[in-house]
Amino acid sequence: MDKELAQKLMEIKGECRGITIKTDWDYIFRIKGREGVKKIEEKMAELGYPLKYEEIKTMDFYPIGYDAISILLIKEIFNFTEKDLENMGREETKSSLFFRLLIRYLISLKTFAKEVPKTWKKHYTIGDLEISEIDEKNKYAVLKLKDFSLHPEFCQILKGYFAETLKILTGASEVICKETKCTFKGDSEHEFYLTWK
Amino acid sequence: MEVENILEEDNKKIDILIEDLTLLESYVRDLFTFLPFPICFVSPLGIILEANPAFQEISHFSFSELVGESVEKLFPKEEIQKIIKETFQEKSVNKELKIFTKEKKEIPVQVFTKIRKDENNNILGLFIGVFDLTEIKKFQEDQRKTQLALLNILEDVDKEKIRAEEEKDKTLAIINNFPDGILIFNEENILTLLNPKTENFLKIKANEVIGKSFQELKEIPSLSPLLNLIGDKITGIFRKELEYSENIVFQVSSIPIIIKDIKRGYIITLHDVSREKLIERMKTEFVSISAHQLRTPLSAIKWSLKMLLDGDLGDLTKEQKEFVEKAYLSNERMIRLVNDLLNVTRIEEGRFLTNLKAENFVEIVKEMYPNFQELARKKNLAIEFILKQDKFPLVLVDREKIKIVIQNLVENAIHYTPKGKITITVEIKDNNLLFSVKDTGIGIPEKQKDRIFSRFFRAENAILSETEGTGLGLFISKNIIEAHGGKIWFESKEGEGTTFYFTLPLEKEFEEFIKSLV
Repeated sequence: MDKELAQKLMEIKGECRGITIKTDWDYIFRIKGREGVKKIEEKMAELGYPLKYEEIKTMDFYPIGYDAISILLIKEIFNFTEKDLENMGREETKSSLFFRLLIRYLISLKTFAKEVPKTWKKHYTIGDLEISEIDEKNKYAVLKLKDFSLHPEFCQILKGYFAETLKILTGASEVICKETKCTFKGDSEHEFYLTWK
Repeated sequence: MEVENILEEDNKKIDILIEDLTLLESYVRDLFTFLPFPICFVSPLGIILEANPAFQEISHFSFSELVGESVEKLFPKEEIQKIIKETFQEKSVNKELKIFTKEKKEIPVQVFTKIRKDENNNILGLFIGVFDLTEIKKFQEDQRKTQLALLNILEDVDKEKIRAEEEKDKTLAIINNFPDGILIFNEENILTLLNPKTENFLKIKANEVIGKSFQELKEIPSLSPLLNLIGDKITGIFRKELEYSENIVFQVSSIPIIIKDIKRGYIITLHDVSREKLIERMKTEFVSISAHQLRTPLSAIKWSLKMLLDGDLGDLTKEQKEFVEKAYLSNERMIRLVNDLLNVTRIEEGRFLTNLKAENFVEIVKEMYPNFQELARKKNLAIEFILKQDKFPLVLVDREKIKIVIQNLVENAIHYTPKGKITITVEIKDNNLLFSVKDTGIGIPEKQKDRIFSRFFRAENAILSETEGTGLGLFISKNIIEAHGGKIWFESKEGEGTTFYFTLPLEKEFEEFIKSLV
């Protein structure tokens, strides 16, 4: 990560809630301690976008570039693989405030599906997330994310996030999430195919 | 410009709202995080959706290990399913259950559940709160164990009580059937027990005397001889004979009951020795009569043999004289034996000292001394008579009996001394007259020293060296000295010699004389 890439990411339009960055950093705090978080803080400052862990306002809006830089720095500093990022997404699901708010809609898959787009909007000012298909009988679901191109690594976190949400929702022992379409691969939207057993 | 102002105002309001929202999020998080009561939120499907730090602490699972997992991982499957079902029906449940920790350890908990519904009455899930019962259970277990221990102790006490009662019954049975009479007094001198044998011996009824004090009982004629004999204070073991009535003799023993160094009372036993006494008396009478009857013919034989030896009936041949001399000596021994037996019977009948007079003891010894010199000369023994004082007070003695003692001791010394010296000493010591006979003879074997004053006892080495002797001399001597209020004892080493001592107490009227000697 260099200043040029950081600047480019900062140019992406849109905002995210402080909680999206805070949740990532909470995860690093849990597995790497305060020292791990400090490394991200230092790198952010070095790149010209200083941010302090304790000062992140969870409900405030930050340029979405902060979220992208944060994710790429985590991958770079801690040498995370794509799988590690997916796991991070899974773990964050459990501690996410918005997931907790979403809990009240876990009554059924249908009610849940209705709430998903709203929940996305609570996180980001850009992009639209919807569950285009959900089949309880055959145990699969299709999620589509439109107008959202942050970085390919972000897709890995989303995979983990969606898989864990569905796992909790269905009580399944295993949920697999595959990205079947990606804007960074020339598709017009992101598409995630989830199966569970 | 106005539009810009409105936007600026709106932005300010949004900032305030965001600030409030952030604080609210922090407040809710803190509330949940710092709640000390373990709580989790479970979906209708039984999936854990939320768990506070207290819940993580009790289960030992981390937050991420709990969220998304089935609640059945933490509680017994059937029981938690039942609780969830009951919660959805009754809105809340309060039950005791076990929680399984990450290490598979079981912790007893009280489970509280509460249903969560949305505004449309849709069931969103349920809260499960748990309260750790470990300490309470431990306390209850301790209480149970304490209770059990107390019950065991009570059971033991009951058993001990039964055993003690059985022992008491046994002891009472023994006492009641004991062939001797038993009386038990408590520490306050009250008669607490009296067995049937005592009733029979003393012709009294237990119920008429039990509960009465020693002093009260002394007023009862049938008990007074016994209690007067014992006296008021019993400190040690007491044993005396009581001639209760004609031909009825009891050996009375009393012993204090001491428990943990504290006197708890005393026991008096009555052993009927009437029959033994009667037999003893008959035996003594028989010996006495026999000895008296023997003495007359023995005296006649003695004088007849003496006349023969003196040639009053004509000269005897050498061979005849030797036979008659042997017969004379044998007769002399017989006379001595008869005399000894008579002395013993007198001792046993308690009529031994008949002629007590103030006598000059030294003169008695001096009178006998030439005979001792003659006996010593015959055995080639040196003999010495030492008087440690110039003057001696008179002593109250039966002259003839004291002469028996002196003769026994000095003749024994001569008889059992093959060579060496006999030393007779008389002195005053500790307000007593002290007589001693020291020899350089065979001595008394260590293991036989205890029996030396017993009737008919002769030490093994004495029998070997001297065939004569009745074994009654020292027994008679001891009885004579003790009857005079004196003491008799000896010091001896086998092969080196013996010293016999006896003392005679000085009369009070001679105290001034003793002071003048000092």
